[in-house]
Amino acid sequence: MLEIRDLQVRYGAVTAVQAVSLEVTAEDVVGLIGPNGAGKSSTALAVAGLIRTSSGSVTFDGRSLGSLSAAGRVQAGLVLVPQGRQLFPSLSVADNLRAGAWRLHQRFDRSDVGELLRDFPALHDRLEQPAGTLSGGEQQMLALARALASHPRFMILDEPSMGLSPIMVDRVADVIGRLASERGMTMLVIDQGIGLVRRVASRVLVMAQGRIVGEQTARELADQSAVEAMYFR
Amino acid sequence: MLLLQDVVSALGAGAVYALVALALVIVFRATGVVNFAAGEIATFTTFVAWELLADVGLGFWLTLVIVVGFSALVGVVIYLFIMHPALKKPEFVIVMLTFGLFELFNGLSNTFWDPSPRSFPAPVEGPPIVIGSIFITQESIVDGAIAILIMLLLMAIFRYTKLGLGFRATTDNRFAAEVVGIRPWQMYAAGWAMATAMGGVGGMMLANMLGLSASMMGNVLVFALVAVIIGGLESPLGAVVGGLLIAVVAAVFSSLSFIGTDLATPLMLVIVIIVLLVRPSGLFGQRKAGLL
Repeated sequence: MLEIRDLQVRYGAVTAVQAVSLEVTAEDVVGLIGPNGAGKSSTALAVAGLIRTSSGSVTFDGRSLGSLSAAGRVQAGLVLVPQGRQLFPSLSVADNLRAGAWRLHQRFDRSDVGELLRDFPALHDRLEQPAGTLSGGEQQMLALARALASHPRFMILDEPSMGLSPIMVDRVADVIGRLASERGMTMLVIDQGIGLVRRVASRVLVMAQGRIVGEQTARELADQSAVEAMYFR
Repeated sequence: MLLLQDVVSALGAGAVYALVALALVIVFRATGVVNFAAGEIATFTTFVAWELLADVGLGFWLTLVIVVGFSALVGVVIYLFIMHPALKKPEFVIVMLTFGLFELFNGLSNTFWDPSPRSFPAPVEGPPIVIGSIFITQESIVDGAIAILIMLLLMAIFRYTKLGLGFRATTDNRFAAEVVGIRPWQMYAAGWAMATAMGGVGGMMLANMLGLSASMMGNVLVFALVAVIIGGLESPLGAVVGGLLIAVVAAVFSSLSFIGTDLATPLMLVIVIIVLLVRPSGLFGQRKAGLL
């Protein structure tokens, strides 16, 4: 469903992403892990159309995304849950969800909200609460729900465990797992550590210094030392 | 009783201040700077209105509708061709651009029209309404009603429409807006359109009260700026309350013999300083202000 070929992202003289290639097939969940500064978020932002690429290609559902805008990519069904959640803090939970459905042509009303929050019961009673007053875990849930509001076919989750307690990481992992198993959502899950990714992904790519340096299947992920070795390759 | 008359009379001016203050808040939320050209743009569009009324012979209400549309178009053009290209420049540059627009529109008004004062057709004509010993002109009632309708319409747009949601979202977190597929430039252009349209309406109301001249918005902009500072630079509700409050306070100060008209403006600026020292975000401002 998603194919990235030789992607390069530069910030001035600094090359953040160097010739990254990866594929994610439909209904699969692929993990992408790596240390700080590896280029994971830059890859995510480039695929979502939020930053420019220097070279390389991104193909989604057989269609080259080329210079398609971020709005166009959301319209095409490719959505990013960004690092740090990036909610609308002054807007209510309900308005955050409505904003997530911005590119839908049909009306997004209360019944849609109910359906959307099926996997996020903690948000049911907080619809009128400003998003900025939610806890970290609730904000992550809202960020996921907001992404789902646009009826995406592919989600990129950038560091969904960031800043969360182990209990909340478990809950987020459960939600991601249900999105994959019950909704058939295709996802690229990006994280620094292997903990959450190991639970949801069928295979994991390791990124370091702007390059993909290794790949492991879910079974192989049990060997933590092998993964860590790839970080420092 | 004279004081009460002054206060009632001042509410009409307060409605104009509130409209212009609201326009300043919307542009501030969109571009992060105060639009110092708001008054001159409104003056220009009011001269256009005068042309439609006096030379073309259109009726007041049709002219109002046309001026709203024309003003909105002016706002969109300003945003797309001047403000949008400058958004990534330092804030100082954007501020200077608004001063440039001030000079441009002031120059246009003075070039195409005789800048000296002239009367401006009223929406209604008739004797004032008397309540007890208070006289209220019909024009000021209509002006007040127009201002209230515009503000209610704006509230409805922001609260109940997709455009309003998009504007609130974009001004709350621009990056997140792009993430969900909103195009920020469209929201900012819409904000400028709404702001200049409101300024156009305010200009017509003010011309109706004071007569049309190239300098009519000078003091209004100062009062509107005071209103947004007191109300909160990012708070539309604060702008409305601030506008009305300023008008009433100015009327009260002017009516007090030991203060009078000359000291009223400086005293209001003292109030501004006090508000800035005690509550810099304004009475209704907050770090991340919700819209209405």
